[in-house]
Amino acid sequence: MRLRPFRIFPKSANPSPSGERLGRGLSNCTCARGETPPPAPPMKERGVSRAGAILAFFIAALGLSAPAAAQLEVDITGGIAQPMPIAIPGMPTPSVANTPAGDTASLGQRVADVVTNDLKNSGLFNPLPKSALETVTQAQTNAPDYLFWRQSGAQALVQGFVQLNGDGTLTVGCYLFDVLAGTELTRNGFIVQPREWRSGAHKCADLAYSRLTGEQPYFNSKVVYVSETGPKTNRTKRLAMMDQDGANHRFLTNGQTIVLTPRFAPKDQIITFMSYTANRPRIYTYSLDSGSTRLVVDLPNMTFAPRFSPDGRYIVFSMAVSGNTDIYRVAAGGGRPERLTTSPGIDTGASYSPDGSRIVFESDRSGTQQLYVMNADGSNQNRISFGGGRYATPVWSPRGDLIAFTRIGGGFNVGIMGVDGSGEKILTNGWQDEGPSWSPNGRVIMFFRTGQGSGKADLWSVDLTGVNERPVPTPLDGSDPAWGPLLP
Amino acid sequence: MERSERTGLGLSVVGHIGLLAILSLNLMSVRKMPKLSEPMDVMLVDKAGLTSAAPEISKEAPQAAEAPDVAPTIQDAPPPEPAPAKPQPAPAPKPAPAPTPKPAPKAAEPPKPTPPAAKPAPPAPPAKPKPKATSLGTDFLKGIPVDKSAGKSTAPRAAAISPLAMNGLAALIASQVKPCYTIPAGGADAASIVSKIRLRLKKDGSIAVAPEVVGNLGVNPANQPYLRQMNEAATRALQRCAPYKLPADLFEAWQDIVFTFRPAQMS
Repeated sequence: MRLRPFRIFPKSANPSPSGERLGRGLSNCTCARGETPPPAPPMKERGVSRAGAILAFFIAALGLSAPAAAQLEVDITGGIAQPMPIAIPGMPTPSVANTPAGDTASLGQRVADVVTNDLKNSGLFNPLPKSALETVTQAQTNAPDYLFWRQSGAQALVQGFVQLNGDGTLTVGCYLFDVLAGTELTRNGFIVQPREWRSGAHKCADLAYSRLTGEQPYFNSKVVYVSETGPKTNRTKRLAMMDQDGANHRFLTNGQTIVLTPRFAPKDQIITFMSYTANRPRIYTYSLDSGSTRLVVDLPNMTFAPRFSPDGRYIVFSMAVSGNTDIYRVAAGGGRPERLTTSPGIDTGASYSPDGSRIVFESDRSGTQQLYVMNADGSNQNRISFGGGRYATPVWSPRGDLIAFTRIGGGFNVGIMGVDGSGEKILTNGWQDEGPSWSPNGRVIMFFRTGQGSGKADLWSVDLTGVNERPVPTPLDGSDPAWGPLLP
Repeated sequence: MERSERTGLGLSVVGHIGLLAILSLNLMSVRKMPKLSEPMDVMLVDKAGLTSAAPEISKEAPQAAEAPDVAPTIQDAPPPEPAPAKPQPAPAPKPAPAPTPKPAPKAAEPPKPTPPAAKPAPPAPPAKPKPKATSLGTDFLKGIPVDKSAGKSTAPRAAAISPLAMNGLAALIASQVKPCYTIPAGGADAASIVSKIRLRLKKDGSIAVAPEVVGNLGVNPANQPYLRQMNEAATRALQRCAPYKLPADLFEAWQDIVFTFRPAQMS
């Protein structure tokens, strides 16, 4: 689609008289230096025929390279990165029935609201406002009113139904349509207990999200974090857990002792964390099913910064032994710790790669906090961070390709880099942003932001582009978020 | 080494030296190189025409070139009609290529990122075209004769559609599709997937056959999960921007188009 001026020097056995120039738009007429080109001089036979021959040659050459059946080819280079308009109308019910979570008609609207919120928060979708939606009837759930949705501007449509089953469970029927093509893209039905209706809605949002983006789902997941309240000097810190969107919030500990750095086990509903129980900072596990707490390493030493291995069998943590802090590994059920690092500095913040073969951690062995990667047995330790400033709290992405971290330079910022330290990118620029945690699909990072002066911390999320940053609602202040696995 | 071999080798060496001497002598008599004539400008175009456009050289005065209008000027007289074609031997004057004027801009249409000043002004029908992110109007061929010629030349036109016209047509189509091409900020390397999509259009610029993926480039194990989505984004762009406003007299050229979507250079 570009016209390239091209200059050739025709080989001439009999040079043409200087008057014979190839006018008519083909030539800029460099012959007449300093003069404006003469207005379309009449062409003379000889020069023209040679020009024609040369032109014909080039056209023939072009014609050979692109066979002149002449399929018109159009290149579209680059596009616009903007959220996809999507319509999520309230879900009808085949027959209104009462459930412990309200009647099925109102549930249909609330399910659509949860789906709308999930997709909007991903930053990749732009749900139409309610005023632009039409009411969907039960009969339309698998045969949408394409004409209406096309003129609404939506490119995709999520709709479905909510139905109470004979055994007291709910079925959330979820359908995804391509509005422009007029086709159904996917569908699924989710059976949930009425009090877990939100889980059905998150699964519906996950279905649409992963089909439309090609990413793994992440909406149906939970977050554990440290809920904070009280004055700066005497904060009450409790473990709390909630859905990824802030709903279903509950406290896990009573706040009598300070807790820090909660981390989810990859599959089981177990959390490991550090607690100052009996004024001795040590790591514990907490079972979400039974609510019981257990000390992991029964030694007098200070233990902290715990994290599960991807298979859930081990916990890596840091332990201070006679003034030297190193990284250790212990079976999740407890036992004798195995030492992985031996350097004289502080080695801490260990995080496994998703295949369990390597560990990223921070160490001040070079003089300042920097990130290192080693094999899971402690061998082959290599520094990967070389940007300005210090680096802390590395976390390996569940997809394996990136490491999130806190960079400490002028302030605290959350960033990402390749597992070899390449392609470093800072994602946030608050006053003090730290403690990243990956969503189960590795597309979003949750972290906490402390305000300047106030010392108040809040949870935030940001996607890998760094553009889509938003606060995560919590009833009190929040810090140290840990994103849990995708729920079944 | 046998005697005969030695002789042969010797002869060969002597021969080569002789040859070198003769060639070296040749250099002594420096001949005047033929003088290079003045440079000539030619253009290389990306697209070949439907048929060879090698011009039969006219002896008549060329038709005056006329630049297409880019944007209307306020209070301007209507752009001059191209001079009416002198009655030529054969073709009856075709009706003016009239793209059907849109009744009214659809209200609920997604906003097109277009400054209203960039509206092209087609010469003949004062129809208001859909606002598009382009300054290229359907009259982009004005001044490049396609069918009718105001020139007095009696030489037959060689080409159905010249490469220049093909280029302009491709640019016009691209300018109408591009504003509709949005893709999600995909993960690892998704933007390096190139989608080739075939689109067949009706004469009114609407879609005749649903867009069809005819090929992909740049697919690797890392971005494979996004292949379907990237193809769908390209397909959606074509559906979203239809119908297209294209010069009716070139229908033969644009009724069947292969698009190459290259998302890599995202803006």
